[in-house]
Amino acid sequence: MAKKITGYIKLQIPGGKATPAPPVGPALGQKGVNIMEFCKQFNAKTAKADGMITPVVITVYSDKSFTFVTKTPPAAVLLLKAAKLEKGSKESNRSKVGKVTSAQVKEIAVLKMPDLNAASVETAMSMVAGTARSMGLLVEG
Amino acid sequence: MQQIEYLSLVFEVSLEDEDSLQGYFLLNYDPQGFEEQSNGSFVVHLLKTQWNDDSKQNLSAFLATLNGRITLVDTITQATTDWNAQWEASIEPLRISEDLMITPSWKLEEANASGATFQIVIDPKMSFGTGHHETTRLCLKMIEHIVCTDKKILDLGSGTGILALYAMMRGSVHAIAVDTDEWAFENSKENCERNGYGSKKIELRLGKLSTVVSPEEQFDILIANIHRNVLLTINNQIADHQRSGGVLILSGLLEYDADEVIEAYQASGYQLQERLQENEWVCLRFSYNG
Repeated sequence: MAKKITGYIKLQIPGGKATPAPPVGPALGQKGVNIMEFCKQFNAKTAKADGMITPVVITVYSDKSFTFVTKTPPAAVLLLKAAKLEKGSKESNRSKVGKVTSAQVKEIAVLKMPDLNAASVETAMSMVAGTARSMGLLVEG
Repeated sequence: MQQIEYLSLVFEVSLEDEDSLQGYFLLNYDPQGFEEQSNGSFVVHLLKTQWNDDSKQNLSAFLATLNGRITLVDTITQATTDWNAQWEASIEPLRISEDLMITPSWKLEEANASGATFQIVIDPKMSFGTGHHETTRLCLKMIEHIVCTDKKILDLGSGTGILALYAMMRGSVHAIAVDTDEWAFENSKENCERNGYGSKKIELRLGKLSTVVSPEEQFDILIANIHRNVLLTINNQIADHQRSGGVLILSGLLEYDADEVIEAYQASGYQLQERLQENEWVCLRFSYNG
């Protein structure tokens, strides 16, 4: 008989580098899931992400066991990478922090299509470009 | 132990604006992570030291540009605690092999009745190594396949201290257990004392191999149940601490990562002797004649 699902936990955490610190510890701990085991499995399976923020959906069962699936990184993370910017790298008083090309925006839009509420690649591109602009990235081309 | 404080910023935000909010925090800070709660809230997790009055003003200015589409609804501060306590309280004695039983201290009587030759008492406190995970079980079984008598041990990524403890119970004369995590360091100290192995028998060190183990220290048996990325960067360092004729046990590897790790360690002078597997996890035993 299939195990009863008691809940889902949706996190976005550094691939290969999860620790019991928030958000992992409090989110899993209050459901009685073994945090250390989750970190071991998640870090092994996302080792090659090497710190890139990786969305993960954890399914928790009534016996406190769990399974998880990872998804593609958020558009903001992919834009940061495309613009060759590091986390926390924004200098104050600068309205434009970097740039991305429309080809990069399209690449990200295609990759994110399954997660975005968009009917076409063009709509997805428009959403990704909007995110880029709100981050202070110039979209070229 | 250093007390770290974390800040959780809880937002009401539409799915369309989540990326913008994330982008803002990724550019300006180094977030611990994000969380989508079941009530629809989106939570940004930061170290508290990253947040000050300027941060609040800058966030207000950013939110103003979005015409009220994103609202900060709560700010929660929390200090590190044993977030794993609920699971830890639920653990039961665990039979690993014919020889070995792992038990929390509050189930000792039950474990005593098992008749196992060895019992390791582990009360975990947010540390890895209770025997519930394949990688730990595989290491414990691999320890049973080698001669520990009179050997000197180095346990890298020691967690609760379980592997050093088992090697000592099987006859090793001395062990050094190394971990980079303060919780693991403190917890392994408690577990070693609980099992009757004080600091003269199992020496605990907090830090990286390169900083807490001096170049002249040599070991007969090295055990590392750690991340494959780390294993792939410290293969030569490990070999530098290995006595000729010694044994190396590596765990924490997924099946598809094993070949790459084997190749790296063969290049450092090791010969593969045994491979154990449970589900998708692999444990490797090497000999060294360097």
